[in-house]
Amino acid sequence: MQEYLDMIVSLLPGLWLSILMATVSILIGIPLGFVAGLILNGSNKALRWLTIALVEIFRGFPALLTLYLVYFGLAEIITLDRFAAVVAAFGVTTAAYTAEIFRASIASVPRGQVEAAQALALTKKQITSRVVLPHVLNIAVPPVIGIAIITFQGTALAYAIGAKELLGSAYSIGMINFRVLEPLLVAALLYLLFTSLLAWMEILADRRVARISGTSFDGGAGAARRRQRRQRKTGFDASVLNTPASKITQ
Amino acid sequence: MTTTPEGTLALSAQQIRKSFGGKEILHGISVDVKKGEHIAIIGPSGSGKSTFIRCLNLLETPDHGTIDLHGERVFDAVEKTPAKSVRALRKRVGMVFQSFNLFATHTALENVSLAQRLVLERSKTDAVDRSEELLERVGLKKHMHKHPSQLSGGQQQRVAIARSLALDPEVILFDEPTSAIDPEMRVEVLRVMKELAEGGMTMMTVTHEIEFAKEAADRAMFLADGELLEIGPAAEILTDPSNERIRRFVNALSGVI
Amino acid sequence: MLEASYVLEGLWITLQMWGGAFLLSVVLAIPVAMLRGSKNPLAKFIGALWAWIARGIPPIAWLIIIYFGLSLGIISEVPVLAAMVGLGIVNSAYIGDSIRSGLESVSNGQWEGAASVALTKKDALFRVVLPQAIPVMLASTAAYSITLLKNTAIASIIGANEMVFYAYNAVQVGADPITAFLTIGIVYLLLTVPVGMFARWLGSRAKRGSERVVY
Repeated sequence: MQEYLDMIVSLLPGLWLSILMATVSILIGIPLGFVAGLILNGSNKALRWLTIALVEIFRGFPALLTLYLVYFGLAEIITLDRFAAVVAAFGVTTAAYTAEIFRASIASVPRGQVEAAQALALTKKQITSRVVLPHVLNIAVPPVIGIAIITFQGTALAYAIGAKELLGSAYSIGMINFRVLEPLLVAALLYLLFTSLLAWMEILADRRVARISGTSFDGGAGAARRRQRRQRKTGFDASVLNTPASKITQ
Repeated sequence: MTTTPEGTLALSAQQIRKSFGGKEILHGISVDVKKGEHIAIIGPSGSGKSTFIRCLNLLETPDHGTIDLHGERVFDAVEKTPAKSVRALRKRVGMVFQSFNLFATHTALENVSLAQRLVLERSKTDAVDRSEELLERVGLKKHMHKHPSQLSGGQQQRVAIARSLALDPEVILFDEPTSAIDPEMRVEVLRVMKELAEGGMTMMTVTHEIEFAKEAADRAMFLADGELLEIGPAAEILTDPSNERIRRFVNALSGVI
Repeated sequence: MLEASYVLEGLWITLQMWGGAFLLSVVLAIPVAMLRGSKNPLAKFIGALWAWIARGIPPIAWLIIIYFGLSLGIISEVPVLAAMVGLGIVNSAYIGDSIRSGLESVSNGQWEGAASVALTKKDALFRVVLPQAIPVMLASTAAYSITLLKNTAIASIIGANEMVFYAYNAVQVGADPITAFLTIGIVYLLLTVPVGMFARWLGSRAKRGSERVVY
């Protein structure tokens, strides 16, 4: 038992590095992805095609290939340490994945929401910041957490360029003791726990979306089911017909 | 201020024309709405009713025509209307939509407060106080912290009415306010509207509810194919239409074959 | 210099791993989907546990565990086989999901309709529900298979001689890294872009189909 606790403790710096790599990659990727989503909804054709090409490229490349391209390729031009290479590679990968989410979220803002804001004499800027943005942020959160899971797990690939993140440190600890399996399994357990934590956040966020907008990214199927259930439960409230006007309108 | 023998003119739209993609939908429609008057706009689908009412708060920009509010020219198609003037007009002319269009990410209270804070620049407490008062008036104070998805269609539309009232508009436009609501829930919305009309609010309502129009509207205007076919006292026009086309339409809506 | 013959040889291994892992994942996914859809809580739990573990551990960690950590005979000795097994396990969780969501996309009314004309449960499944569910399953399966294809690149780390492996080795002995890795990247795009288009086409077709049925 003590042996495994020691193992976990010796893996903690690796876990910390994995978390750090994932966090920085996501912090780079989300703003880039958001801007790409704006461009994909925009009217500038040249910019849009350029963005489509970049998104397709970095979604089509295996993340490992992007990492090699950055780590070995850019090394010819600028000096880049492992950490910088990892966050640059996974930053653009994350951006490419989230771009589509943000594009769809921005496109999904119903026209009526904007019209209602216009009818209330809000300025263009107010409409963007107070009506469109909350809508986009609300529905984009769950799928973006889904991408964060992919990014977090993806940081294990940094092992391939010799980074001492969680997988890398598990492997080297195993090499010292000539017992590879145990530290690898402990590392796998840590990945599993951390992934589950993120997946749980995704579920909570998705519930929140369903509660607020009555729709969610599962194509509305979940929301439709919830609506049906709600309708079955409440049924038709006939009492309203008998309520005197003064009661309803007070 | 323009006065007519019967009273002050709240809204006057003259010769409103609108085309989409080269096809003219409105062929020059004019109407004078007196202060405190409620006009029902009736007509078959595709007659241009919705386009007309959307022109009145410039959600659609008319290609031709003018709009006056209390004698003041607020829109003239021959000049470009700056965004600021468009907003000034919309502040004075409220709009209630067929599909409610409540802000999905905001609670009922926030929906009613938002424009008070941003457009009227009211303080938070003032905006909340006023919003609560309005939500109470439409019978929804106890639901004020709910999101639109948690409310029925009829409740959402009453929040939308409160939201529109929050800017203290001079006129409110209703674009088929009950068409997207289950029949049994319509009554609560119509009741709120009737009370508003009786309270002296100037209103224009696109509707298919003939009985409601007869009872709650002062005048009715009948549009067909982008033309104003007839305008007159609602009860008269809708009870015993002299125009054959209007009679057929009203009968069809009332289920008379 | 990265020789064209190596790229082709690597491509052949990539395609073998893709196909092998895909078949394995389907074989694993069907029982997983059945377990998860079962009414028995224990079966449900086992199905969910499998999906949770398969998905919760990064594919590279699976490969390293199978290849370096475990002794599974030939599987732990041949990198290509280890990769197929590891990637097959991971992908089985996703394919299991697409089977489940495909079945759930068919409305309950279809089961009830089948029951109302006295079809057996088996007939209802095979004659009514599956024909509607399969287009939906295919669309998401095609989308997941793109991820699977890209994940085969990971096998190079344990020494499977697929495309990235050859590019990496060429770079180690002096080939220009940008040219070498971009060449491989283009081959991946030539595979992923058409499969992506195919998946979207399947998706839009499935959607049309289900709309026709529901409304």
